[in-house]
Amino acid sequence: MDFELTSEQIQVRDMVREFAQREVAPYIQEWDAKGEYHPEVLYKMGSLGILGLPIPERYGGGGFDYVSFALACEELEAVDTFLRVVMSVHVGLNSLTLHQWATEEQKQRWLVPQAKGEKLATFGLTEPGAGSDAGNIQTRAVRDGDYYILNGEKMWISLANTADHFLVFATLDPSKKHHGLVALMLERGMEGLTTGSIHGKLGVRAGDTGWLNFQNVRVPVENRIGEEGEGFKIAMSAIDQGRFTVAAGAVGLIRAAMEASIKYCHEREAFGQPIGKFELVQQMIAKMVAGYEASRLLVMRAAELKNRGIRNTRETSLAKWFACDKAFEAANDAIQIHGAYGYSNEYPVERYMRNARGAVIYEGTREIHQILQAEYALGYRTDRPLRCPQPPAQAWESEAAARA
Amino acid sequence: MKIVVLVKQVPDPNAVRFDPRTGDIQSGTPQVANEYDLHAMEAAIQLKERRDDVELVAVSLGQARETLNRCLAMGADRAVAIEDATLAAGDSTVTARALAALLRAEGFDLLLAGQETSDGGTGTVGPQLAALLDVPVVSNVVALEERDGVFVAQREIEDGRQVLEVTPPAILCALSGLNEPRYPSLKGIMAARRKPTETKTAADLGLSAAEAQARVTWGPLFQEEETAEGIILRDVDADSAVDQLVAFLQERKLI
Ligand SMILES: Cc1cc2nc3c(=O)[nH]c(=O)nc-3n(C[C@H](O)[C@H](O)[C@H](O)COP(=O)(O)OP(=O)(O)OC[C@H]3O[C@@H](n4cnc5c(N)ncnc54)[C@H](O)[C@@H]3O)c2cc1C
Ligand SMILES: Cc1cc2nc3c(=O)[nH]c(=O)nc-3n(C[C@H](O)[C@H](O)[C@H](O)COP(=O)(O)OP(=O)(O)OC[C@H]3O[C@@H](n4cnc5c(N)ncnc54)[C@H](O)[C@@H]3O)c2cc1C
Repeated sequence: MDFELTSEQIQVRDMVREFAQREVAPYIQEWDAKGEYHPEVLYKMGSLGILGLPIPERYGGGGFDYVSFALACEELEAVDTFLRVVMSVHVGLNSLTLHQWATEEQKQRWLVPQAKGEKLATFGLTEPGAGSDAGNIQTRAVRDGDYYILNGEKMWISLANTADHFLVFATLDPSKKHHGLVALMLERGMEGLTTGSIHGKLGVRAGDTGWLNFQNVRVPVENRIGEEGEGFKIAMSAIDQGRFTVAAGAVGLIRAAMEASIKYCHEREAFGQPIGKFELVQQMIAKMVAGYEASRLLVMRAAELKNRGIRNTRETSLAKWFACDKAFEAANDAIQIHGAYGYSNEYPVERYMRNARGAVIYEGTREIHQILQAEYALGYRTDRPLRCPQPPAQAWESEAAARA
Repeated sequence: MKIVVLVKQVPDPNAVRFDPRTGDIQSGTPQVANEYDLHAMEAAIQLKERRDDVELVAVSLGQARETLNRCLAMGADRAVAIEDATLAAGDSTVTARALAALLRAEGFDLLLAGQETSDGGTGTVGPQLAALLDVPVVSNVVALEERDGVFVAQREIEDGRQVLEVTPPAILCALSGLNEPRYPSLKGIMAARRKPTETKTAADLGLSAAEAQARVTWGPLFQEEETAEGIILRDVDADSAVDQLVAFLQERKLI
């Protein structure tokens, strides 16, 4: 077990940190307050290669490992959650899922431009009537010769209005529940596909969250990812990647809350001494430190498994649940430490709290992760091998091939 | 055309903390590339982008692996790290001698350096190299282009700029107005995996013990006591207080 980062991982971390600190940090308070979305930031991320970070070089990506990927998510969310959300949907839920499940031809068509940052991508599973209960989605796909006719609606979709590519899930037969789902790649511009924004969100206000609507969208059969009936498995393996980015991002949010709190502890005096001297304040700082370190270790363990292409559903779920709970707790305590100032947007901590709240809901609610962890522990749940297992990181490809 | 860029790794000026007891920089302070040196690097890359015959080498003396990696990721073709414990305690003359020994062997058409560093900050390494290597040096460079093998530089002078032309080989010392250094892209970081970094010691450079001996001794660092005293106007009415303040500011040409 080696806790040292390699020089390459440090370079990736520093580059992403510099980008986020310079291009977003000075403006984020205003963007968030006004609910302004700045897609040009995403295009810049694309030109720097951030949007293809863990995708192998042969598909136009950076070929970096999952530790680097986690560090990038951490740095992005330390500045604002909307930046990490891009990594979750574009890279985690969409591109890495194509890398795992798509045919070579499909990878050339969609994965390559996504990895190069030329096209933006998202993931549409949640519907107005079904979130956690994803086997119960109502969007219908009906086979018609070489096409599927798609009708329905998706809700709470990140990058809904910005994405060029959409990985969406539909049911071929609602009576089959999980076994009736199919995964389809849609492209903006397809007739009958419309998108819109959701307003009035508690957090991620600088980000694009919206809905997708399908009215008789004709989706060619060659846009199907995997087989008919494999949709649920594909969605769940996508979520194994998405959750990883959310967990890694939460580590960054804890760090931001902790750094802001430590700074304030030194600046603010009460009863004749810096508030950092009060033991009850110290307790909050201590919990942030523990939450940060423990979350980071859980993320790094999942990263290690992912690097080697080993199934990590259980470990990733644990990292996601734990890190997101700790992030919300840290942000909430950061407000407490800042007193009334923490309650205003003069300081960043109220934004951290609003942003952290969402992650306790998306990519598996807190309750869903608790169920998963208990079921694994009780022996009610085991992971069966997938037809297309999650591929290892580029540097582990030959090792994984030798093992297989 | 061969361009060599000198880059020094320095403690991050935004994060540096001193140990109040010893006057030394606290260990664990993050290290970064000296700011002006990144501008020098960027200028070199921009020249390289305009011609297809440029070899670009980044050179550093001291612990600078991260900084050299950054230069490779930005676009340098290769890097040379001079790492030697005997040189680490050197003064700026020792630094210049070691760099000069390497540069004699390397050769260059253009040597780009920063105007000064944010740690040592003597601003003398560029000019000392000019003397040791017998080449011209242009300081305070804020604009640069190459025209038919001649370097056309703009120098920042008080209240303005001066245009100079210099034929190679030459040394230019960069200021931050020169350009906006790029981020090393992930593509650049990937490409850097396959670029070589050579390590040299004082012996490799043929430096004698006498040449590596510092003659200036580096003392402790300390912060000066705040000495400027404020002026407080007491027992005056508002109008005369305003008049006095305005007069005070005008006298110092502050308004
Ligand atoms: C900012 C944001 C961005 C999002 N981006 C995307 C996106 O890009 N793509 C996408 O597809 N979705 C996205 N989502 C949707 C998100 O994944 C869902 O909100 C999430 O899966 C929960 O579903 P739900 O909101 O329908 O809640 P429900 O599933 O209706 O849950 C309601 C409550 O019931 C609890 N509950 C449900 N089932 C159980 C159970 N079996 N046992 C115990 N408790 C249970 C839940 O934990 C929760 O507390 C996003 C959401 C947000 C807020
Ligand atoms: C720990 C420590 C101990 C020191 N001990 C002594 C001592 O005992 N006696 C003493 O006199 N000084 C000492 N110094 C100062 C040190 O020797 C000088 O900082 C160094 O020689 C370079 O001078 P400078 O930083 O002033 O560079 P400047 O002249 O300000 O730099 C101008 C430009 O020259 C180039 N350059 C400068 N240094 C390097 C380098 N190392 N590698 C590559 N390019 C470079 C860069 O492009 C830079 O922008 C010490 C410094 C440190 C950090």
